[in-house]
Amino acid sequence: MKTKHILLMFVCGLMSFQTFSSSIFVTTDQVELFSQKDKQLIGNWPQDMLFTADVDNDRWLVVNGYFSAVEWVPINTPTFIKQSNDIQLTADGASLTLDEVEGFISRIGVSIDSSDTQDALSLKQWLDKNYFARWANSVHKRKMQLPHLSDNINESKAEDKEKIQSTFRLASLANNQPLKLSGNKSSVNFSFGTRLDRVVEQATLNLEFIYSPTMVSTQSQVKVYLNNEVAGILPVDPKLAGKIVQKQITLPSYRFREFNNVKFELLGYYETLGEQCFDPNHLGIWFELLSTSKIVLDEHQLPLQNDLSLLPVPFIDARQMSKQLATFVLPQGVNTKFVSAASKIAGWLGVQAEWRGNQFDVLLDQLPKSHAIVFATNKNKPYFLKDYPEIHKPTVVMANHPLYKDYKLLLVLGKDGEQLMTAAEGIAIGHNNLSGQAAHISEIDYNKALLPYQAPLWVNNERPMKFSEFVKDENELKREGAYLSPINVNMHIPADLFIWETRGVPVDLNYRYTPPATPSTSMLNVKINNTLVESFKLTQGDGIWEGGSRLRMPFAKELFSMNSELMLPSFQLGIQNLMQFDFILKDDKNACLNEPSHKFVQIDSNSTLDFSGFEHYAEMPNIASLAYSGLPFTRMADLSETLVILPKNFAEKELELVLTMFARFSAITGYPATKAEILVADKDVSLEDKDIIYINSFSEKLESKPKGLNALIERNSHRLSLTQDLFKDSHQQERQFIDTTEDEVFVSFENENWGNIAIMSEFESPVTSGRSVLSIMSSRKSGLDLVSQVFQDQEKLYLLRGSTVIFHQNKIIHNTVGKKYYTGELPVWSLVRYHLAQRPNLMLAIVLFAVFVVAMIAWRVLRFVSYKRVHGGS
Amino acid sequence: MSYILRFTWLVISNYPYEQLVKKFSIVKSELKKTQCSLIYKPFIIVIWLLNWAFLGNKIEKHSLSIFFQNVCSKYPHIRFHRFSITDLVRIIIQSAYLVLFFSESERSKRIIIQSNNSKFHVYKTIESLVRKLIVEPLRSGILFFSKAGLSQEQNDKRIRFLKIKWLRVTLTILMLGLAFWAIVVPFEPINQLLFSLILWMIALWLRSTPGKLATFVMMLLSILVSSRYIWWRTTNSLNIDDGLGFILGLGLLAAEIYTWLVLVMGYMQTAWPLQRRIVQLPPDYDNWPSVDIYIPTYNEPLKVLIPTVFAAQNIDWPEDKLNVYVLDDGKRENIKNFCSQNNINYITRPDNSYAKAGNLNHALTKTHGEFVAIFDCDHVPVRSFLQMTMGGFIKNKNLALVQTPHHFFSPDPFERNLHVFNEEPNEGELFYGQIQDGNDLWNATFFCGSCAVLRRGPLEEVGGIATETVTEDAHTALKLHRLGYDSSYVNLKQAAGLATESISAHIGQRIRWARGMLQIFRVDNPLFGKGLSFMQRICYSNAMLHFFYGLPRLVFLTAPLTFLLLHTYIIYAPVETIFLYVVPAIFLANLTNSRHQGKYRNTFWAELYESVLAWYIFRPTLVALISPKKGKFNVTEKGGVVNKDYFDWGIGVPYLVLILLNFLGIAFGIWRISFGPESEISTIIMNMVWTVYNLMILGGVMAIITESKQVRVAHRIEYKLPFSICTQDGFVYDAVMNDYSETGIGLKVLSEQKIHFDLGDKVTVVLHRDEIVHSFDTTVKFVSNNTLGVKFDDESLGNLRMLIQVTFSRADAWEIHTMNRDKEIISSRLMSIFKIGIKGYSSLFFYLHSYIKEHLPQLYLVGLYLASYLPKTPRLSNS
Repeated sequence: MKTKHILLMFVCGLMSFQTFSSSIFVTTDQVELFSQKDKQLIGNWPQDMLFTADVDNDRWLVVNGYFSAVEWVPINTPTFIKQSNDIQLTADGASLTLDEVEGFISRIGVSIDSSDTQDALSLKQWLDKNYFARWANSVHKRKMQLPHLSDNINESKAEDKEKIQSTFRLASLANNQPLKLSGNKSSVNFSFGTRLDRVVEQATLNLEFIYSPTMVSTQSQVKVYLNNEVAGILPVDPKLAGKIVQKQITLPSYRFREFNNVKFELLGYYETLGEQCFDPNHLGIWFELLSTSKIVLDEHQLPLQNDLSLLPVPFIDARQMSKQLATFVLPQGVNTKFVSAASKIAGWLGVQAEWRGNQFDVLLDQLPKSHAIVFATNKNKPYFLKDYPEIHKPTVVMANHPLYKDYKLLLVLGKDGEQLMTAAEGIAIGHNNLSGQAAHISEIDYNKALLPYQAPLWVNNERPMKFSEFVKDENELKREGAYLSPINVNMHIPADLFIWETRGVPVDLNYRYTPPATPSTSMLNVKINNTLVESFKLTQGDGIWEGGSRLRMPFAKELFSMNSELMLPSFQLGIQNLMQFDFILKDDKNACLNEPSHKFVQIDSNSTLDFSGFEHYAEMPNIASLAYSGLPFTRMADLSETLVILPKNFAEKELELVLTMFARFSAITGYPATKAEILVADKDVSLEDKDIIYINSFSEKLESKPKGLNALIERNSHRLSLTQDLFKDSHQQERQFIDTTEDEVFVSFENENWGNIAIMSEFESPVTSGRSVLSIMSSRKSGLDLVSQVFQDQEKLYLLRGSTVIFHQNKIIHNTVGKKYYTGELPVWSLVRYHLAQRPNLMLAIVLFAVFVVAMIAWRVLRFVSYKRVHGGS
Repeated sequence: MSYILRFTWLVISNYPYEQLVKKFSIVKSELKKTQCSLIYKPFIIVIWLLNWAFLGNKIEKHSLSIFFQNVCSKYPHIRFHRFSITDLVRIIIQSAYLVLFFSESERSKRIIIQSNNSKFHVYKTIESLVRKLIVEPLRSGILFFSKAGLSQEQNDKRIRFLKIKWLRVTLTILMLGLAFWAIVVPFEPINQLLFSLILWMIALWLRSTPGKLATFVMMLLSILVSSRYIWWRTTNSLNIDDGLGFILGLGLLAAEIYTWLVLVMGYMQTAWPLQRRIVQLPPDYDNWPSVDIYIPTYNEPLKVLIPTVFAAQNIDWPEDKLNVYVLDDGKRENIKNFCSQNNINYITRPDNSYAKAGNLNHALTKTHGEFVAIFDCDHVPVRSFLQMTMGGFIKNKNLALVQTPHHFFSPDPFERNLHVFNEEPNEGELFYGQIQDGNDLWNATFFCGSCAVLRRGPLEEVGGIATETVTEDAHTALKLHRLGYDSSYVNLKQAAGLATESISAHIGQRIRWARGMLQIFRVDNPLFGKGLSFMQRICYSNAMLHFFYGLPRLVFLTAPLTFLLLHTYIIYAPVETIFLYVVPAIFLANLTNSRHQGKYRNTFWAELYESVLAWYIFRPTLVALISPKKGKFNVTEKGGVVNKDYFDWGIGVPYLVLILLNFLGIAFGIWRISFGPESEISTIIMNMVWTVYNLMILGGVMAIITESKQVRVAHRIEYKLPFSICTQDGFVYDAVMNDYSETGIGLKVLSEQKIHFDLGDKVTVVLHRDEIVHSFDTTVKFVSNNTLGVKFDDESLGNLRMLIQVTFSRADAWEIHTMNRDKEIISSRLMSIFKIGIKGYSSLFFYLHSYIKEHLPQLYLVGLYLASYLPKTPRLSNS
């Protein structure tokens, strides 16, 4: 009886949650549907259809919903079923008995394992399994015969929807602009998107601001625009000037689009005395938003169509400006094939997320309340796919969440592990080519292997690159208006670019501008990572500089200074290198303009930047290049030369780390990491010619512990080698991208503790020279989260450098120990010169020796010649 | 009226009125004495009164006139007796000068300093202190180490394995390969600094280590560091983004590469000066071959020719085998007469084709001697000439040419104008002292047109003296070498001649050489033709390349201006890096050359020599390079005089332009430092330092082209020779000769006591050479203590012939001039260059001054007028 009560409670709970007040029925035979009692047959329902209905008096059932593929679908048009023998009232709440339920279940052919004590397995799961399986069956047999009484499933009422509230600080949306308005007609923009699967119900701007008392109240105001239409006005009240003012503006929800733009424009005036000229740039005209200003969006989830062409939505939504969360669902007891498939999808998601960053949740045999990507093979399925019909081909299916209709599941399916990987690769490579609810991946055929360093987002070092290649839209190279913000050009330079003996990267720059009123103070400043490179005068002439100004993006700190470290690029080689073109066009101060003139500037998209001729060669170990460029693994953008070794008993945390790293690497390269090999630690694993990532699996291979290993964690025992590095001024190293100093182990330190710690260390592969091994280990599985978090957070990436990084809960420490080695290739000429240049002492010895020997030979030969000359032939 | 005055005076003062009146009258009379212009008078009185008021009774002693004189002495350029408004300005300027920069006490101090020359003393003491504290210990340290270092004998043993040829070759290739990396590997600045410093220290240490091995190591290090510089310049420092800078930079680079090439080839050429010994002649006179001595002449005066002819006749050689020929292209009667009188063969020819070469070739057809010795008509041979040179011919039948050095007993224009005759090595010394000796090792001795013996057979085989080019001598030697004949060089001064007497003549001569060498380079390039060994090619090429120096030198003189004036970076690199590369290269090259050839040429002086000629030589060389047929033979004028000091404006003009440009560059540099961007300052300073150096070199050029007086027709030749003199009274004194000339002798009587001579005393001078004794009647023309100057009474030819026998013909007549020189100190050499430069500028100023005075009197007056505004140093006042 106990079980019955539980079931009942669940049923009721379910009902109440799903807000239908009626009973659940199941058809035992085919039944007919009527639009009205006894009239107009509108369709048939097959056997075993589960639906909800109110029981009418005259033996009619008024259907108000059915369980479709994965969800309960409400029916609003009047639909009646005649209560007959064909239709068995299975449950009406009051008379449902356990026997009846069990009987019903057994009749359908599913047996509840009553021994399963997992409390989550319940009616809910039963429902999941059942209907999902049936629906999937029909899909796969191409018998899309699900009854559709009503197509407009979207017509659900708003109040039924779950509300999601999100708050953004304006500062985080401002694209690094200061939240300041100064000068008449100055403006500041904030942009944000709304996810495709969400609808804005209400949006509020909670503003806190302060403004100048100089401004005249009658004329001055701040206009607030939403998507270029005025949404509100902030009046300038002299009484409140100089104080913090709070104000709420409600933004009309109907004006929201996918991408939204909120603009503040200041119309600022001050009192001019007599004939005095009004200066639109008067310092007294200012208005500042405080960083506490925010925008609050009330949204609700919106069900999307089951269409693969939407991909990567809803798993990655470009409209969302923040980190992208993705949930992976794998069956219990997965093998590396599953991991491999998941990693491919992760790579793909990484590419789609771009700079937004990814976060992954891995669930084993659980269904989350969110969008999820589900992996299954015939042998190994999550519980809710238990009854999924047999899979024959690599298949991708977009399906509704069985429980929450607003969410989607992406099913990645295959007959076996191989097919599963094919399916995943199919999405990763060809998601743009998929549409419909489901697709079979028939064939993936690479005609050409990727070349090293061939990555969509990386600078190409085979030819000059046009500026248009660095921006998505050529409009990004234009600026217009009264106040011009700098034109930004981002590029990714692989961290192992061999920057030595170079004068910088030649840039052929063409630009246009409206002729400035005061050419003496007008200029174009070219900056790289906030360092000035060159400043061009903007003359009053034709305003077109097509002749091409040639400049060089410096690599050495300053060409004309002594302290340029040869190996040290002046601009920190970050994930992105930002070139800024700041046009300063000054108006004539004496011209009495009421508002600043409208200007137009443009960098010609045919301007080029020439990286050609640069080689790839770098000193290792250097985790910074991993953090910034994913090197050495991303040398092949598809990670085809990467081997990931997982511990035998890997679980969610390891997978999350792998997925995070893969997504990160793919985001860096712009190409999904689909070719990596993922294996479980085993002595038979061939490590040759691979860059290897060990995750928590070192201690399992202790017998062949490589020499380069300088940090080791075995359960609670931590051993670590420290170096002279300890004595260095760490502040100076802060900006240093590559430590060129050679470090020897100073002390080895071993301790035992029970804290959460993870260590990442890089060293040369003991099997193949020039290859790297990255070992990541943690005392307990949750320690790996510390690593994953850093990879997810661009702000923290700078902490990853040196050869060993130690992750604590509260801090991240890096250390440079171990033998140096080099990756990449150089022509012999440069190689020899580079290495000799590092060893002046050797060079000196060689020189002296060589010179001495040559001098001796010369001396002997000349003495002989002179003897011969004086004494004749002999 | 006077009552009122008296009354008012009594009211305000109790000073007796009469005294006052007396005072006034005194003042009045004094004022009259001063003869001062009316307008100045009130000022003078006011100042005097003020003085009086402040100093009270002290002023009593000085009457107004004395006071006025003092004032006048303070304003020496003001004429107080006549007023002019401009004088007021002068007074103001002078007053300001006096107040600001001048005080009486300082002046007295300055006078003391000047009299004691103590400034100079201070400098000297500092220098000696530095020397004592730093340089000497360092030097002794180096010496100490060098003792522990290499010794030749040990090395000899150690390198026995080098006898194996293939080992030698492989080892050389291997080591050169290693050294190659040291050239192309770039270093970080600090490493480059240390690298260069260490090499430099090693070179310094080697410098005081004796032996050729050390020289070789230094040469190789110098080549290495220079090559590093050139490599760095080529690969790293071209301004490829800036069109103008790139082109100018390429020009500079080409000049630098040229310099580098000449340096390297020079090292190779002079690596081992052969310094061959004299080969003995067979004792049997009959086996001595017959020799024709050719003395070609064209327009030289007879008096130049006479000593040469007499000396040639004096040469010790069997009389029947020695024939002296005067080859007169001038077809002059007086020479013909002279020859017939003195039993000398006179040959002339109908035409003058091919100048000297044609003349010699014509003579070849008329004479029959086995050997031909050639002397320019001013080259006086000593009697041992043939004995010293002929041995080699007899021993080596393949020998076709023996060359001896050219020595000059008159100062060349450089020596004369810089006043360094017999003090510093002259310009030719490097060539004859070292380069020819170095060439000799490689069997590449050049024929220099004079003081040489040629074998007739080979000479006729090559078609006589070469006529295709204007340097017939070098070309003839080249032809001989091509046919496989040997040449040799005997580094003994067996003849001496007259140097060119003016800088313009010198330039003319050099232009001819340069043109000729480049003609050979074009017509008969030693690099490509048949028959030469590798090193012969190198030697010839270097000799020819040398004459390209004009353009590179001009480039160096103007290179810093491209930045200072045009603001173009022609070397696109940080200044510090440039220094780190160029300074070691220059240092090592100078150090090596100073050790290797310091005896023959002063460090930095080559730049002076080259700079003087640069402008004049670069055009003919270019022309010759493009069309070798152009240009004709010009005869170098000799035996002339320079009647007075003068500045050769004609030659100076291009250099004056360069000087102006460089000063402009300095001015621009100062302007750029004051107003330009701060980041450029170090670059500007480097360029300015370079410009200052260039200005100093150009100043040296100015000093050189300031012609000093050269009035002697007969040059005095310093020669220490004991002999005796006989007075009319019959006393015979031992004396030692200081110098001699064709007309007289300078001597010092060796006596404890002072022996009295009067001007006009007759003295007989007894000179002897071995068994020959000649006495000459002379008149005393100069007396100072025991030092006399006497003049020959008899200037007949016979007497001259006798004189030549015992003086010019002495076998050791010129060898005595070999200077014994210490190791040179490069820094002081740099100082001396600077001193020469400053001297040049002062003489330039002097001549500019007089030139303007002479040719542009108006401008001179204007300048004088403007100068009158300048403040003047006060005269010594009476007090």
